[in-house]
Amino acid sequence: MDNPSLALLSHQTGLQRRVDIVANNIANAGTTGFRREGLVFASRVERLDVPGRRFAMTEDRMSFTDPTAGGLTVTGNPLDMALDGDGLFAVQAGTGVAYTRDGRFMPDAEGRLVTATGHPVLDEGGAPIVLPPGAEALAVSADGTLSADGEAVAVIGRYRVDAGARRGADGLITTAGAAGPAPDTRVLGGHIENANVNPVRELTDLIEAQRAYERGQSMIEGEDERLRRAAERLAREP
Amino acid sequence: MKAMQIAATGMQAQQTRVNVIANNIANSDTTAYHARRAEFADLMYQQERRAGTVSSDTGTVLPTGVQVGLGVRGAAIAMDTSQGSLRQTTGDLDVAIEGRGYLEIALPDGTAAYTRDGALKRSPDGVIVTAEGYPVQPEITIPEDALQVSINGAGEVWAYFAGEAQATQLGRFGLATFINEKGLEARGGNLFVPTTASGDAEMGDAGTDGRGTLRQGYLEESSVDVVAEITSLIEAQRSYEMNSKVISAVDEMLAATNRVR
Repeated sequence: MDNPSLALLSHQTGLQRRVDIVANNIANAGTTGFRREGLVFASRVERLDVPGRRFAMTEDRMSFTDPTAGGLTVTGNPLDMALDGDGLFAVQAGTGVAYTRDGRFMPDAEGRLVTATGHPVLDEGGAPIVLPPGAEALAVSADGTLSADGEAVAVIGRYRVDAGARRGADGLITTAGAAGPAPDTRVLGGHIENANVNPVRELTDLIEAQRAYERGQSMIEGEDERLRRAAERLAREP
Repeated sequence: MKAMQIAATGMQAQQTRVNVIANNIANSDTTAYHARRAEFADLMYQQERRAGTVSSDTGTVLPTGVQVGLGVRGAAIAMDTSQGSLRQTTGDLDVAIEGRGYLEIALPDGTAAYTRDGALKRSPDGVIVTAEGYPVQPEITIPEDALQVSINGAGEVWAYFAGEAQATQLGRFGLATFINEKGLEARGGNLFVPTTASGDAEMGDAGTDGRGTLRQGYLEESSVDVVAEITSLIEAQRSYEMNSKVISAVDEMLAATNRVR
């Protein structure tokens, strides 16, 4: 394939990935604590060994997580928690500590505080939180202190992860690097954080990507036509 | 393209949500019914390009890489365990539970089930049973000649007899609590059975250790907020439509691909 076709092909592949990400954002518009993903495109031009020849393509360089906070829904259940700030809850996943903003917690059969997917929630020291049996009035204060019947039980851990964090299975965030405490992130009991997906924006992105894709296809067709005509003309010349 | 499958998971999720809402609305008049809420979590992410790889041209390290989520899945259908409002009835065997706790009943196969539906009745032989005929535990029999039955907040059942000034205690209902009542398995007929997630039932007297009290002459209404349900129904419907728009957009993109010679 020639250079224009290659550049267009990379453009089309990137757009497909963009649509995949938009589809995931829309599918998760109702997922508690979900943050939309975006895609960064970059052009890539390289000089080739042949003088005067260059190689050009577009590249979807990285996806990013939109850090804007989602809206809050009041549930009234004190064990539903939302975070105000850029911190994350820490949970014990099978492979180690993972992080999430999904604060729908509940006690499990052993009285541990767990997420909706069953992962134990960790306190500031990184230990699972166990609720006292028979506790009636549970409440969480803005500094993360969880109390039962007026007595402090644990402090919900809030952590900040570095930029290398990625989302793995179960939508939990894991990091190979360091995670530090984020004590300035406030905990809001009785609230859950909605996904920060804006449906209008996602649909606009979708239509934009779709049209750009169609434009790319017609350019590929045009390029094909140009080559065909060139070949015919060259064959006709004596 | 993955987008079609991703949008399909989105549509399935919204279908589940509509099913849950439909069941809530259908049960908006069921005694002691607690509204359910479908909860979702994102599916796993595919790492198209690993974070931390070195990009070849300038040697910079990619800070995040490219990760594409693969859609959404149902995480749980959680039960809202908040107290429903109490409705006054005229039945002397109608008891509402104010606070935490479940009445224990015996199923015909000998196992125990739990309910908050206190619309109790008398069986032909005088045993206090639920509306479906299952005896409440511990079994209490009301003698045929009892003039009036009174159930106090602590669960004690008293009866008055003709010619007797003092009431006679017939028995006492206990209340069962669970460490995680959201983990109970609903059996239909307002019945729940314990699971490994809920923990075993802890029986005790009403009004002790955080258990609620009984109130005779009242029933607990369902905690379904119909306005909220209709709002989330519309939300689910729109969300379903958005996911279907993704499918048609992808379809058109694939059609454009197929047109290329």
